[in-house]
Amino acid sequence: MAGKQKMMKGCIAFILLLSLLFQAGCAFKDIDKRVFVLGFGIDPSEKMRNGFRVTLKLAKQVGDIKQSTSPPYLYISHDAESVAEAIHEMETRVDKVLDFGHSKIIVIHKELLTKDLDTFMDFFTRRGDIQMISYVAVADKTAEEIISFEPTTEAPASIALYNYFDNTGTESPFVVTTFLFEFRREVLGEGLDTIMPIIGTDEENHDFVIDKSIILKRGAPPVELTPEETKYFNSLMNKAYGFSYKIKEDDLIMILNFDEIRMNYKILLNDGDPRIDMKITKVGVVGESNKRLNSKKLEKYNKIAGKEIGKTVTDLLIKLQENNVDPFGFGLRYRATRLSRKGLDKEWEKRIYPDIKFNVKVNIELKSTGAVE
Amino acid sequence: MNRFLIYLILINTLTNMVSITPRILIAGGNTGTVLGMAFAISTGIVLTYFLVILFSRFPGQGLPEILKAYTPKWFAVPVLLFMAAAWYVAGLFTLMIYTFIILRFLTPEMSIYTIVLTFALVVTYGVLMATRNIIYMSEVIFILVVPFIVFVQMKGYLDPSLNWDYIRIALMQVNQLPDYGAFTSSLFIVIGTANLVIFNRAFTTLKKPTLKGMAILTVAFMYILATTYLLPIGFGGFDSLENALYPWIMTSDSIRMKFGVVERIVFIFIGSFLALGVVSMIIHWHVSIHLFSSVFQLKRLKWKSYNLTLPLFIVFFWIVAMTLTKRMTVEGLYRTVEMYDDFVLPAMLILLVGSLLLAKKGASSKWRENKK
Repeated sequence: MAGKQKMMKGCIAFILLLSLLFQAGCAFKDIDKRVFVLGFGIDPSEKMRNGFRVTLKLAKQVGDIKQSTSPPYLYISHDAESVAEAIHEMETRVDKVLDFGHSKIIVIHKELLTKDLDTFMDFFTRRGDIQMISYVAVADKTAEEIISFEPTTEAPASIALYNYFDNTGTESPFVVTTFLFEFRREVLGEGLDTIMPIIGTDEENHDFVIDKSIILKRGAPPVELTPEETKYFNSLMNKAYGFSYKIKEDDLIMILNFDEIRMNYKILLNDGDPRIDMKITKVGVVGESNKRLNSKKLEKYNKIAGKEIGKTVTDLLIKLQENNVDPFGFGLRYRATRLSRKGLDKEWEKRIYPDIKFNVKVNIELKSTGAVE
Repeated sequence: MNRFLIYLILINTLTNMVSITPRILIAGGNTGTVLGMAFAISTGIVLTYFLVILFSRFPGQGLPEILKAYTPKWFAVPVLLFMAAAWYVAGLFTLMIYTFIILRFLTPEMSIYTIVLTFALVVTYGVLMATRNIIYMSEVIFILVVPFIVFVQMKGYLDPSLNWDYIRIALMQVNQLPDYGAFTSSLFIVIGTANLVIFNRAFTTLKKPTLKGMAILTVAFMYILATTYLLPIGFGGFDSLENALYPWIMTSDSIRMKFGVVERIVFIFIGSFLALGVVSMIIHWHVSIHLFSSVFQLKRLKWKSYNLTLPLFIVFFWIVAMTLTKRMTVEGLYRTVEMYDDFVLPAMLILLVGSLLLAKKGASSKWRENKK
């Protein structure tokens, strides 16, 4: 009996191995039958009412980058009533399968932000093969221009645009990064408004300029932040550091470099006026100064800098409050610290947030005046 | 407590992480998933404790042997049939959901028959293995795969894009009345001990539940259930996940491995869970096929000296799986799993505990008779 059973199992194993033969012609298409989409650009269509103009950046197949004679990228655009339609119509224009699995950026035209986002962003979250870690950004001009722009620093077969956001190339506090999954959760959810980078180009058309950002709230006009405000926001929320902060006091000008930033806040409603107590700690060194500094007076410089930075942060918070947007997610924190009940988010948005006071305390810890006094 | 028993339980717990369960939990998010999960964990632990004690009274015997020996036949046969069907369907759910996941995320162009058949072939080989060997196999796969899964989860918990405020909002729903759907589907996750109905045959010396074993299980249940529910919410938002069909796949796609071999962690994740899914299917169908064959043993159906009952059932399993997978929609599957969790699972658990108690009583009275 045991022997028979063994034989039976051997047979099954053999059949299993045999069935691998059928798998040889796999369902995948070979790589030379695919063309890889590297980025999407979406504009409002000029030809069609309520339509979209979708631009794709495609990577061409070349055997050897050094020997290729033409640029390795190809751009195609198409107008249609919806994004999915545009893409399906574009499929008829290329001889290969469009492969979206490698795409990492979606650039949106500014005007589209005030429209119903669902109609075009739906396509990206619905498809299984588009990465949820794609970057979402807003174009300063048109998305088509941005997606097909090739800056001078772009090496062959590399994509400059990715490097700004993936924190492996440049790391600047001026660049905010928004992933598709963040975009989705924040646009569809209540309590935290999405912040997205704005991609522009410089006047000579040599390079990208990514230093502004835009805050998107559903059903309200988007709010743009200046580079300086973006930097402050980014350093607080995403702990982006590595850039200098200029401090002016009388005739003393100091540039401070921070390499550690901590921020936490508390929402206090029952202790006097409703207010948000924000505590910021920044640790760093003096990077440049127009006067000779005294190492013993670091305490004093700390105070000066703290006051200055505190004021800038308060101004930023008030600007956000006046525009009724909330990229810090105060509303979310409010909901997160209270037992659930109906209308908690509306209560915050309608009643509390417009009048709340901000109390920003900045604690600067300068470690030294740099290598010289 | 036997370590193999713990693997058996935890494989069932982990496999359901990516399946329909997170969706049911998230659907009940506003109506008391947190309390539902808490109740499910305590119920699961208590049930696990009693089931292990009850089964350890009958060392080396599966439910069919126990019932046949100590209960009347009119009771034993329907119970065994019901259980067999329940286990088959549980395995079928895993098969379907993994087929859909493969179809959606890995090979959109592949025929659904090919996928089901590939699964079926691999699973069949496993199902026909000896009970003891399945247990050894689960240990090997568990040890190979779990590090990857834990790695992905740790990566998720440490990700700066994970917003803990969403998670806290989810936890703040603790004042809502517990949700029945969330309770039963979490209960399904933590009730892997029920596999003992057949696997008890391999445990000839099933030790009593120890404090250490129960503590490990409690911690594991809490961690896995919390991760199943909360990590997707931290990445996908509290209000915005309700329409996501595969919350966990979406979550693993949101975790970025900056300097990894592949930046998209989702493929590692799906791969690991496929391995676990296959083991879970093997366990379920192994239980099911042995329950069936304990009721129907076709003595005449022989090829040389080999009884063909088991292969016959396997073919039957395949055909049902194939036709149902082809017909089922994702939404239909979701509804079916919900119904299964809400009605079949409690019925099955009550029946299981009840029949074991009955058998225990029968055993003690028989023992007394023998003594006379």
